[in-house]
Amino acid sequence: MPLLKNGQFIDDLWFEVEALDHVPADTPLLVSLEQWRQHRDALSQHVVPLGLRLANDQSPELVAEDLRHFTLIALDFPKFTDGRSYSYARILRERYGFEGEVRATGNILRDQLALLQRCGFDAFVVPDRAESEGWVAAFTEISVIFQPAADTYSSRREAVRQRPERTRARALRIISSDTVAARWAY
Amino acid sequence: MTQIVITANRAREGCVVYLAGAGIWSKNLSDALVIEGKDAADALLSGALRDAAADAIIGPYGFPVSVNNDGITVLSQREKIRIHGPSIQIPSAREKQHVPL
Amino acid sequence: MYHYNNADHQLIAERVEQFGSQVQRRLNNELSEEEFKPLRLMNGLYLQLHAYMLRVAIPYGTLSSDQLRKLAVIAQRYDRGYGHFTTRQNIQYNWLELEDVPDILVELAEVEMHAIQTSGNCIRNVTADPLAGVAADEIEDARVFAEIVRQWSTLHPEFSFLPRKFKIAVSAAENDRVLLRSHDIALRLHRNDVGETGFEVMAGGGQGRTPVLAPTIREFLPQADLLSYLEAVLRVYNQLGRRDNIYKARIKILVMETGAEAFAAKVEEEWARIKDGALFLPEADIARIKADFAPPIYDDLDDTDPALAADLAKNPNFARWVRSNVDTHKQPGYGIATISLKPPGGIPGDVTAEQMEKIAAIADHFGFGEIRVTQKQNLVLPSVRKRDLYAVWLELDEIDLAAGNAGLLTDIVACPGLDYCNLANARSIPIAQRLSERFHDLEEQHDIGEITLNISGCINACAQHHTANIGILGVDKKGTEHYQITLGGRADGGDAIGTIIGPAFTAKEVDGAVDTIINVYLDQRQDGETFIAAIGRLGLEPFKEKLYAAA
Repeated sequence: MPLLKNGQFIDDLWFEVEALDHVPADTPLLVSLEQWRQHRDALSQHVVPLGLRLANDQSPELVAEDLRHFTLIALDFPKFTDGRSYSYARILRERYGFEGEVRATGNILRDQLALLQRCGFDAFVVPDRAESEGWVAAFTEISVIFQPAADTYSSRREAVRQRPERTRARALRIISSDTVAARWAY
Repeated sequence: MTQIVITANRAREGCVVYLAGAGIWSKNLSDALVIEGKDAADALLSGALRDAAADAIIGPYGFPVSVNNDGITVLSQREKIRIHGPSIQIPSAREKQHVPL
Repeated sequence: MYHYNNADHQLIAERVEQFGSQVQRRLNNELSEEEFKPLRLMNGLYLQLHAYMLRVAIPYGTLSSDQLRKLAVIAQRYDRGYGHFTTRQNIQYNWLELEDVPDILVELAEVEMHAIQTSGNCIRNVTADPLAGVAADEIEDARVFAEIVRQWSTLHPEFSFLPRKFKIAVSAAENDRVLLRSHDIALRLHRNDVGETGFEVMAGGGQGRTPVLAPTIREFLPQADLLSYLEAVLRVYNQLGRRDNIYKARIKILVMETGAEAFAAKVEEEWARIKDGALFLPEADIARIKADFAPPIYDDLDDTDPALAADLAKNPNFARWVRSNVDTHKQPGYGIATISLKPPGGIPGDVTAEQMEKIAAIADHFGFGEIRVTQKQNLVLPSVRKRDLYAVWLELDEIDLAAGNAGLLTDIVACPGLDYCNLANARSIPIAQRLSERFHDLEEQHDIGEITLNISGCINACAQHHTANIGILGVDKKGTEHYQITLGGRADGGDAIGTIIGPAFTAKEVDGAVDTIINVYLDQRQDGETFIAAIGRLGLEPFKEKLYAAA
């Protein structure tokens, strides 16, 4: 299944394995929470990027202390109606300041992409037909926002700090308004 | 044996339709296929579910009917309402009877 | 009233286009029903027994006359000439075809209306005191805060796939006209001991299968913290609400199973992290929204109006209508006029296109062009000069909407029931019609006094029968429609869930049963006590005895 990131369909370089015994040191590895817990010591010495797969009922709170080990967190949607991971993504970005890739996997719909992105997801595993069906356009169909989210998050310690990569990737055009969202409309 | 008819709503208009044959859905109850027995009905219902998957109709299910010389009669209030529409007179259809105060 | 600015117009325009294209893809079979269903639900489009039903949002129940005229046009052009006002201040059209819906949304957008988030597992229409801005018993205009919450909840990316629907209500008055404790979250603006205004926050209320009155999870929330606190509640619910069983997925189950105090503690924990963040509401922001709800320019009048006094004296029918249907306005010389949508034998909440046009004209002529929708499925002209009440009443009478029964026995709240709804077990409208015909005599109704009677066609309780003085629930008993009666419910501050009084009645028996209940009250009441007070004093035994006495 293709990986959609920054408006492009790219190759997924990550590997998941059943057994962790014979993992080559230079493989970007995506492990489950159970695997992380069982093999934490060995994995934290893994040289190349390490990613963590969380299930829909596994909050990032469970690994808050260990996020520094991961450059990718993958959050799963067994059914598109299960909206828990929208909160998990925001917690990753806004509570823990996670700056790696936050990836959506599983059953996600085209019309959820913009919402997922606003919550802090920046990569999406999508069905094969996503390219032909023009899923990329979904990110920009609604250009106005009425509330802050991960995409408008600013650190309390600094003045409004927008990660340039995030801003550019979004290409949102927001019209400033007199609504209470004025502070987030830009 | 219970006599059963399969019904659904047509996806485009939302109107009530009845299974009249393989892949054929009619708005008229009189066209409906009367199925003898639950087993046969279940078999046809899977066909109906395939029609649903093809998105011509939504939410098919079977319900009991009785058949006599006058034709097919539905038994439940719900199915009566699905054929005839709401049991009340719709506001705009009523004749205005202005009674002065 | 609040007017759309550029951001709002932009959103609606984009949303209309987005949904229009979704409908097109559906009609072309590029989207399956399974994929389309969540999308159409986020846009308020249901499939009912006979046709598609569209639920149009009327934020906090406030309509301009132009909007009401547009609702009339839509009823004529795309439906069967009428619409139905609901207990959550929305309007429903029952006879739509899928391919017309994009055009309807375009027409609605022209008057700043839409059907966004009126269904689906998201935050629904925020309801508010229907008399906000004009009620004599309010401390502030509740709609200001309902509007703030509306904006924040619009296409909220984190809360669009909640375990279940989420309903918020706002009141800022002494009297509860919104059924606060029946909501997922209710906000009651009040003044604390040191004179500050803030919200009592209640969470986890609901009717339906497991009726529960929302406990208070925070006694006092400063206005500035409104959105951050709500975000904390929703975040806890989104993560912890049950998703294994659709009947256990509302926040009321989470609050019940966690315990109100423990739940409140979880909310406080999350809130502590975000309360000083981007959702903090400075006074200037609130003031900006308040400016949109500035009152119209009232005439400077005496509160007693000799013209009204003369009208009352010369027409007893009018006097009776004023007694029941006109409430005290905060501005001297003005009244709040309720247009009862429950004429004898009528369908509660239904209004024809012609009636809508006429009401819009009356509102323009006599009422600053504003109309409200109430939780009792009535309409309100919020500001009518007392001297104009008689003219208004005459005009309402010409369109058969001058029933003087507001707050009385035949001011019945009824869901659409089995005549329309897929979920129903029994019809509710014919029961309402029979009852309103049987008890139509207004003198008798005034004698009975204040009373609430609500009829639900199934256990989902959309007519909120659990908190009605007389609640009627339609059930399917061996293939026939039967009606279970509850007594003692109230949503007036002294909130209570009604108690089932015995075996269900057939449709034919219901009005006789209600008659018996009323007679027990009339026989045994003391000192002019209301029906609900009498139930409090007498308990249910006297009613059960008479209803179920051996023949």
